[in-house]
Amino acid sequence: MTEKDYNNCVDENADGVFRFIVKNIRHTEDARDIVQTAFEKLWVNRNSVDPYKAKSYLFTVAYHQMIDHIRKGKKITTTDSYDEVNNSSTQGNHELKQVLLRAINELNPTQKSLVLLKDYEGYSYQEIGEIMNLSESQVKVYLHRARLLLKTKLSHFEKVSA
Amino acid sequence: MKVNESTYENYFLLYIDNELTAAEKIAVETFILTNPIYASILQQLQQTKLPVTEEVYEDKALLYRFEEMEAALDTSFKQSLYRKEAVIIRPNFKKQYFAIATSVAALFILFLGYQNFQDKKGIVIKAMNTGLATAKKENQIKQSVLTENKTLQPSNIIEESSNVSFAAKEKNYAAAILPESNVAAIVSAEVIANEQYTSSPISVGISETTYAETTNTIQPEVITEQITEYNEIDTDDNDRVVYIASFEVDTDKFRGITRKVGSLFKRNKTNKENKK
Repeated sequence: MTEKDYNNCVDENADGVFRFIVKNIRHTEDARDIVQTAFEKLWVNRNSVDPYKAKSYLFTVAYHQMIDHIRKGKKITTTDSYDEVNNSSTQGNHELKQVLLRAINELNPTQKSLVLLKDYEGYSYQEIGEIMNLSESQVKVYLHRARLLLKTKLSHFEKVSA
Repeated sequence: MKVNESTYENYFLLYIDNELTAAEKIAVETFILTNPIYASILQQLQQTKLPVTEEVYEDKALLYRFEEMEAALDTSFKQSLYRKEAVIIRPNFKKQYFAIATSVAALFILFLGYQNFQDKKGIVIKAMNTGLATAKKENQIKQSVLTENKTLQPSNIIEESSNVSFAAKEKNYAAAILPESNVAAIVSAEVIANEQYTSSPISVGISETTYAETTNTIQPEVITEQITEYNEIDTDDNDRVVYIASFEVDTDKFRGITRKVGSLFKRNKTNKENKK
């Protein structure tokens, strides 16, 4: 991976990695630190990283950094530093979307990461397994459980609102 | 594996996750068309997909890296830049040791000062002793010469000159304390004076070899003038000078300082008494 490849990777993936982390931990500054660490590691190991796999390398490093961050008991569910509702309001402020976001935040960190990687980044089960150090079948099972859980919460909301 | 009432959920989940092949996707879509009651289930599952939102990482420039930023020096060159700090041994000063060392140094300085004082005093005493000794010796020589003159009856001219020279010598011997160099000068003058007797045709009885070394060109009158220039040593100054180590302290001036300091304390005392 050359210097040019690395800087292109910054342009292409910095926003995506940041979104993935900030949606998980919901703390902007900590998410920025994690992203910075991930890119720092990519730069240090640039000679051994394939440019085509740089994105998954970045997400892998960032995911493990995030897990360490969560294990250290740092912020994860505080709403003070990251106002997700206001951000979503720019997209249309649909009530159903707010319910969905709340429901996703109630998932466990693994399920949440699975949903985020799948829906935001469009990774395949195999790629998600590589990033999260899970088997493809584990990814499939965990993700399907998360989807069904979200579906139940959404259907419950629809019944209440109706 | 076909899409049916028992497997539809799994297929629907794979469908929304875009994990099906094109043929499987068509099979799912055909199943929904043939069974419209399952369309709402697929719609509910599709609602669980997160809407794509944009999050921007600000200051991407902070993440950019360039090779120039990683410029590094060779390890050998780095090693040449290493420096070792000189080891500074700090003495472990203790107040007791410092006090002892200071007192020893003070005693040593006082000892040196006393030695110096003693040396100066010794020089003065030695000068006095040598002066007295030469005076005695001179008297003895004078007496012996006089006795010789009496016995041999020298001419009147020589007697007069010898009397003059002896009178000059007596003047010189009146100075009780003289430095060693002056004494030597006196002795030489005496010898020259005695030479007068040898130059006369009458022999005085003193051996010629003792006066052979002296020259006849020096006039005794000139030498007597030089000798009269020496003055008596003023020993009174030593009374008011105190030697501390190699420094001279004038006690008169020091006394003035002590008076001033004493007056200050007196003033304080009187102030306190007045306040009472």
